[in-house]
Amino acid sequence: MTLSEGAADALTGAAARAPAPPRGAPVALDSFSYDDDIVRKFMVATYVWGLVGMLVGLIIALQLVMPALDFAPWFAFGRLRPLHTNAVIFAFAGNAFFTGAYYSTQRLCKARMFSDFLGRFHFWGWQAIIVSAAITLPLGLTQTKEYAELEWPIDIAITIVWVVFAVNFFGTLKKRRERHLYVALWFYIASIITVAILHIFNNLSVPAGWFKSYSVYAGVQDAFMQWWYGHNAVAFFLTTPFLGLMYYFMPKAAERPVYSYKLSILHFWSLVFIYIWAGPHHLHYTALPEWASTLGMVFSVMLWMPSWGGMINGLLTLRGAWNKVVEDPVLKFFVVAVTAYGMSTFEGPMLSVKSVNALAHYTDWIIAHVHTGTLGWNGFMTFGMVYWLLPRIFQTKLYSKKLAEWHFWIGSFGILLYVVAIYSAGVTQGLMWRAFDQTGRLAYPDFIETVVKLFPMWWMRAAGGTLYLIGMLMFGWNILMTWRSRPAVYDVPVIQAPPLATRYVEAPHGPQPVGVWARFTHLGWHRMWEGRWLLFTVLVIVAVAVASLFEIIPTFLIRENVPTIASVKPYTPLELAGRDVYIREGCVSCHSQMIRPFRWETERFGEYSKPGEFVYDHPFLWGSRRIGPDLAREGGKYPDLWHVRHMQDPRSITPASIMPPYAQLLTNDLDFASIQRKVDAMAMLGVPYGPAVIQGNAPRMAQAQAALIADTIAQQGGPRNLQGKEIVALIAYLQRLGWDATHVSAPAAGAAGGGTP
Amino acid sequence: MKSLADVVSGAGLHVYADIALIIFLAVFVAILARVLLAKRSTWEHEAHLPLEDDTAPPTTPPDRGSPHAHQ
Repeated sequence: MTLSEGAADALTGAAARAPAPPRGAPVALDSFSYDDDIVRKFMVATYVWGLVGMLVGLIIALQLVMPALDFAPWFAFGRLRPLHTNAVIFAFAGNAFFTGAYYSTQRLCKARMFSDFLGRFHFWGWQAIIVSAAITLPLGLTQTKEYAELEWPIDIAITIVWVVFAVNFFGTLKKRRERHLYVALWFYIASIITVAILHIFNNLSVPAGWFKSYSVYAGVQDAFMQWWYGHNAVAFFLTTPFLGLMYYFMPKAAERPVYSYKLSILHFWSLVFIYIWAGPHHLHYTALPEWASTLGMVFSVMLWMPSWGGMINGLLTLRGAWNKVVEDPVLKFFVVAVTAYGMSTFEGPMLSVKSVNALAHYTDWIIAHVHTGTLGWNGFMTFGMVYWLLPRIFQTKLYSKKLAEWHFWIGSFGILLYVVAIYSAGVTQGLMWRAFDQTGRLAYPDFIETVVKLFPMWWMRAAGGTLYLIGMLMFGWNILMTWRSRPAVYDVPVIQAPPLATRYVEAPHGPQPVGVWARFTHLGWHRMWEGRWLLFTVLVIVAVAVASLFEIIPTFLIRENVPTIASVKPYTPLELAGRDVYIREGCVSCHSQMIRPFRWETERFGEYSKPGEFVYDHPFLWGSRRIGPDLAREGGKYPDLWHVRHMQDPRSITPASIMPPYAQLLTNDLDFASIQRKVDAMAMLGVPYGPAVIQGNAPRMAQAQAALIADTIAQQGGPRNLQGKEIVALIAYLQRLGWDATHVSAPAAGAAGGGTP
Repeated sequence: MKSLADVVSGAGLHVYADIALIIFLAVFVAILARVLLAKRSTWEHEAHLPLEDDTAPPTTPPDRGSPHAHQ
């Protein structure tokens, strides 16, 4: 597209608002072109990783109903589940955001990206990070914090690549030729800034080797930081970037401006101000201080208003164009995406209400909620955007509109099957857990009863996921065939636009304001912010940082928030090694370690959890889901041999169990040599390890405790000579769980010498 | 010697969360008032920004032997 000088002037309005040259005077136009090659690269990556992530999702869904599919340690549910979440969030949704951001930013700024090299660095760096995640997570190299599982070297790589993206993005804003930053760019700014803050602070850790680290936070504080991060990862990685895409691509597809630009401004600022507070609603009725939990709930409920404002704004953009929805698969995808956004942002605040959360927490209801958002909002917004982009970036006709229509319908039906099944599963699970019979005892005391009841719903979920995946295959075929009909050489249009005037003077909009109130309601100051991208960015940082600090400082610094318990001692070196086995195998994906203060929980699992129990837990392992029972009071519940048999073959203990077997723990040698490094790292974090920090002591203590446990197992009639195997470390850890808070002194503390005076 | 945690713990910050809530609610209300009171026409130009570069997609596949001639 080439603009004449007069047309450029009229369209951009930039020259019209600049003091010089005067309106109507000739303007020297800059000539430039857009970098669409980077858009094509990110689009292809979006598809490839989306397919991988969703395929892994289907595999883990099937593993729940067919545990035989857990056929190898690297293929077990606990290790694949984080691979699924990371792949769909950071690989699929991340690349989709970059696709749309690179396309729209250039056009909204009337400028090529700041640096082609930085764009390529960003692309290849991000793909390398995804590949490293795909390798390390199945190997069990994990920090275990949800959506922040990747170990510290990869975290550093993420930081570098993200900064490169930020430099490229903000550099483009700086050299733009359009004065005003369109609202989509505000959402991109907020996303880039906030994700950087969240990533850095949640991943602060002390390394204990190249692929092992411990969070600098412990227990309650770690849980708080994690869900401040976790919730806002949803907010600023899956919501605000996609809202930016919505505000750009929906008007493009509908060929009309957004319904209300006013509402979009309101939508933006209220999300930035409110979202960051909501994280603690993930920790209702846990050991988190009650005030933080309530604050999280109140702000979550406040999110209803802006979220629905945004949804209404998106849908009403189609005013007068609803007839196009019938014809156009792009608009169909967008309508369902925005509707799914509305549904999940209605449900989110509802789930944050404590009484609702009491039923839903730890159940499949949360999984259903998340998938309404990801399959509907993120998935369909991506599909609509890519179908709109395909003919433009490949400069050819879309291969098959009919196939896109089929993709839409099969994907929609897949979502429906998925969420109906899993909502039913979640509510069933929650109600069974809390049911009492006429005698006042638990109606379903055996946890496995509440698991097998869900099988029909889990099968239905797998069917829904399969349909969604079939839609992805259709999508891929359409992309491939469209790509195959591309021109031999892509056309690179030269764009012309006037440069930005160095000084900004607000164009008159009616009479000039007089008085404080008139000046307040006048737009001048906000428009000045928009012109000054750096100031605008700083204001976003201030809003996010201040809100975060209001919650974080009291949680970390007011002692009464985490009352200590004198009997709680650090884990012995062997227990620490066992805890790392627990982390490696992803046990936290299915087992919580947090008993809420409800009778139906204390009857089933034991005394409710206290904040002081977790002061040495780097990282916390409270979990967010119960596919298996809570383990907070597991210590002393069963003999050591029971654990050996259970790990060897869970179904030999509980015939209907869906837990993967961990027989390899009986043959894997425990790496005693690495225990010293682990203890030293913990000591650096302030855990009082006493004599264990003396070089060589930690492995000796671990070996002594391992010999005791191996003897006990042999005496109970189990296999002999397990003292050098990983199973004894895991048993040591499991037998310690919950012990300190309910007993005066820890078991085996004397033998291991890990405790402190 | 007192630590920062000792100082903060004894500072009586129990109303801290309430104050934060009020501040943020006030800012939200201010933004709401400001945006709603402004005239719609003020954002006419910004609202149309995504539509400025509109190009119709090709309706037929290109001849792969002869790439599109620019302009």
